[in-house]
Amino acid sequence: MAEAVKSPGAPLLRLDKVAVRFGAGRDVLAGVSVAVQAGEFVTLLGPSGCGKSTLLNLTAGTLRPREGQIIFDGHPVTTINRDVGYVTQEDTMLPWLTLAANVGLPLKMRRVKRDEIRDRVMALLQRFSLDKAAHLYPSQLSGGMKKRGLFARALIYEPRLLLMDEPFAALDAQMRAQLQVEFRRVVRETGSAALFVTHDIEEAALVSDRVVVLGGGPPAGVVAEITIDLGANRDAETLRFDAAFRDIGRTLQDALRKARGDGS
Amino acid sequence: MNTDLAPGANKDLPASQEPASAPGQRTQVQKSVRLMVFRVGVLVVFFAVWWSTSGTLIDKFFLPSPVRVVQELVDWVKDGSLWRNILATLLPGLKGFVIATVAAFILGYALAMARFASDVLEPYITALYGIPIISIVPLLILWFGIGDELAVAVAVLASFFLMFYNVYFGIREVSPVLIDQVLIAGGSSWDIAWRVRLPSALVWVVAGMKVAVPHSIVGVVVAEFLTGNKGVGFLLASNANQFNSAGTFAAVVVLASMSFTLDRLLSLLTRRALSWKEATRPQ
Repeated sequence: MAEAVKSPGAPLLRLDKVAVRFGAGRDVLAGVSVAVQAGEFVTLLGPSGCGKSTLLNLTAGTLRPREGQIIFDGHPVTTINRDVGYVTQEDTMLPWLTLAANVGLPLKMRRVKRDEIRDRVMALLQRFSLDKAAHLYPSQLSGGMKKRGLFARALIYEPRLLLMDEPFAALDAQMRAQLQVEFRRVVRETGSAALFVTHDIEEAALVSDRVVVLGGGPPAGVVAEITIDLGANRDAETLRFDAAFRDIGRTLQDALRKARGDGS
Repeated sequence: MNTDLAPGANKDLPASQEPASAPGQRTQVQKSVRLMVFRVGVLVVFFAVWWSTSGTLIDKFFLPSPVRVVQELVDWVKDGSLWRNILATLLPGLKGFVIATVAAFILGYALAMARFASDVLEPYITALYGIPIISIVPLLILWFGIGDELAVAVAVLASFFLMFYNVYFGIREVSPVLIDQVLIAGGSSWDIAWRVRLPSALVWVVAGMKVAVPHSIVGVVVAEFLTGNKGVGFLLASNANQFNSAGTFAAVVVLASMSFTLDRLLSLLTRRALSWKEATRPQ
């Protein structure tokens, strides 16, 4: 990491007037500024292809901006950011390792003692109700189990920020609803902040403290920022009948319409 | 591989969590028995057709009876020439394979990591791969003379490219997303090589080995055929030169048995490393 530029009360993550271009084409993102406070749950909502995943890759350090900068914990991100956990859309379990070995891998690579790894892995697997599947290989797990395993692997080293790129996209509705709540609860317990990407309005309202709507363009930019004030403990079944939840849904829908360039 | 985080996890689970249920195991056993019966059946039919056509449809000079071939093999066992010649072929074959594998690993890994260098060298490697080995043997005789060194050199050439291509593509085809994930999770370049690239390439490497080992044996047999005074290739050539078709067939049977045994040994040796490939969903 380069020179620290942290100041008291500064956000954990700050994307500052970021522009990104792929190849010789035009910018896909321009002038994007997003901040995430410690422990905050922020969702990036927007139509497909508007650059939501690109912002996660910038934060993880796997991509460099053409313009602007990314400040994480007071330091500019100029290389791979090992202080974040990242759950991508793809299945990134190592197929030759058991679930327990996959989840423990970050600790092993960080030279944590074997006994401690075992204890921490089993404790986390228990929290995700995966302890009975610890010895199984990824090919033996269901889609939902794999996804929970990937959450566990991203959380095992207690990153201060969890990046999640449409993690529930490939799951059926029931599994998705269950995991959304479970995931918010476990991340809250660990005290991590989260930057979450989705194009599902209900999902955004359910899991977030704040939603940043991206769109317009190209290049895309921030269209709206909406605070979701629904309390800390959320239950999907109850919230669906809550007037405030429905209002937020409508507000997000309007913002998303604007992001798509749909004037109606 | 690193499966040590849940030692004995199977043992601690209730029966309902066991990966394979008892009926499932029974079905598996039934399948294996059925497979074995059919395999033996194919062999029996093959020998029956061979035996019935030898001396009836086809002259025994061209197609000796299987009994004659077995007699020839028994004679070789009795006078010790079978094991002596098998060893004479096997040792240079395995030496050549090991040398080829080490070289293929070094070059394959290096070129998979250096895209520009691999683009530069690609036409030359493709051209070299296309050269029939038999056409280089005269040159190798000049360099190494007639003997074990020649057999080893031919075995190296016969197996090198097969191993090289498998290592090269195995290392190169690792998903960049997987690599990024391991880097973000705290991995170093060493972790990427040891925990991601090599295990990922192992499937390719094992597939390459299964083809390269018989090829290296074929390489030695070719060298023995042309220049040798020992080995299964020599047995083959000398029997053919004496118009002893039973001896020639017996040498072919020995070669087929050697290839089969080596393939099964390789499967056994690599089974543990690839056990994850065999893992199936619990019922």
